[in-house]
Amino acid sequence: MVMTIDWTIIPEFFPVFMKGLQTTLLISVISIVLGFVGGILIGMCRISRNRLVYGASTVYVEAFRGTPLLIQIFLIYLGLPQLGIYVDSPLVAGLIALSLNSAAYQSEIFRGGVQSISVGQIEAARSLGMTYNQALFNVVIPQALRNALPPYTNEFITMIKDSSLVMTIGVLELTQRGKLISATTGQSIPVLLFVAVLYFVLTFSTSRILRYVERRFAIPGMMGCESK
Amino acid sequence: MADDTVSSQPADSGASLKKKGGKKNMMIIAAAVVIVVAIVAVVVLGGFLNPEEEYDNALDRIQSKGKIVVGTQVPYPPFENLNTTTDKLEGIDIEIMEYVAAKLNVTIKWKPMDFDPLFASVQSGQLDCAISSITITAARDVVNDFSIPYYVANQAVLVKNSSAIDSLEDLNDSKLATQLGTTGQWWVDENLSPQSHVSLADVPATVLGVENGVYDAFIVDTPVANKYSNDTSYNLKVAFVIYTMESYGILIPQNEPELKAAIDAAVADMIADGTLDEILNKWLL
Repeated sequence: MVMTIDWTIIPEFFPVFMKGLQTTLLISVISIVLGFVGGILIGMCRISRNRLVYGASTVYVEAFRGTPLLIQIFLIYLGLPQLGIYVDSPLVAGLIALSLNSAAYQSEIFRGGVQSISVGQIEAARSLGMTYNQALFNVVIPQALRNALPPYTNEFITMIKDSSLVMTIGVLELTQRGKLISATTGQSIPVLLFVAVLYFVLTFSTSRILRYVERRFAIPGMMGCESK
Repeated sequence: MADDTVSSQPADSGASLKKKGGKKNMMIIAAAVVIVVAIVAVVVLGGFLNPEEEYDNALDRIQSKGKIVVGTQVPYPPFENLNTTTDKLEGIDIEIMEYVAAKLNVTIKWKPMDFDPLFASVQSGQLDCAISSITITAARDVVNDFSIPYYVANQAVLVKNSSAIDSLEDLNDSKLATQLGTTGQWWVDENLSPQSHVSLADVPATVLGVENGVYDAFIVDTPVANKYSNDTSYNLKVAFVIYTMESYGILIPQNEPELKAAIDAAVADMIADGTLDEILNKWLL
């Protein structure tokens, strides 16, 4: 028995797919950017010698990295009202959950980048008369971020795909739009394939753009900087 | 060829940044960062803090605000679905809720979400009520409350046109699918010992699984099964109906007798004046 596959629904519902794509793009960009900023702040705490700062940031990272994102989304949307905090829009609740989660991952990427820079470089910078902070911000961090670009690319791509989890609290992003279109038309396979293609366009362009950035700003003399 | 003039990495990788002396600045920065993050978090979250004004009860709050927040799970045609062209919800439950809201003199703010979280959301106050073909059960009644029933449904066995399944015994040798957290799932768990039993959150995906032969049968509320078996773009039929006589009700928070009374009165009116029959005929025939 062969199912009737009707590809004409793709052009027919194209504007609906695009609405979903827009929402997915919005969610991904905002949570990646907030996660990036948050990740740097938390990553700085994670390399701090202050026990309190280090401890608090470690608890944060382990908590958000160690529990399922789906549960975090539910807890922020459904759990917070029980504490009297009402996050009215599911989109905002989803963005908060995704950003907090991504910040935990990105802080570890940042920390890894910083620790990839030899301590000898700080010593060299200090002996040139830089203060510790000058050495950190002018010597270590610029290199750390460049070294961390490959894992950052990973995380950004993961975020684009994980953004679909917010459909469980009613955000009409790409996957949910696709589900609704299949429910309306009875066509699942073409819809699923087209949704997959749209995600791939997003993730593939992200990885290409970041690969370009990686090459453009490669640390001279580092392994991999010559490979074009 | 030990050419490491450019930017060789000294081999003291064991030493980390934090081992270097004079870290007061670092500590201050880190402490400042934590404080800033904490303040930002409080401010951001505070922005969404709606200080709970004093109302006598949920009904009073709903009517004072002129708005009732209602949850539902889409897609579940013909009870609730989202029209892809207009982005508006439509279906039996949607029209029933519109009637109830009109009786309460309020407008509806719809919040679509997954089926499972509807219960927690009504309990936590995120929703004022939920309408989503929810079967009234004793367990669900413990944490939340229900309106009087507005519909009685049974469980249908949705199979491929070519399927040989036509009795309960046949189901025991089959791969069954149900919807997660629904009465169909519990009924199968209690009454059958099938070859396999999967519960999925998504109805269209499960229907596709039956059509592709991943599952032999999908046990789901009768009106939903009928919708798919009547649609000629699917090769599906209803093998038989299991008479479970389940009543659908509107999910209401516990201990809100005023809200329950108002919703019950509206549902009773709807049954009495024939509106309910009109809605059902419109969507089911």
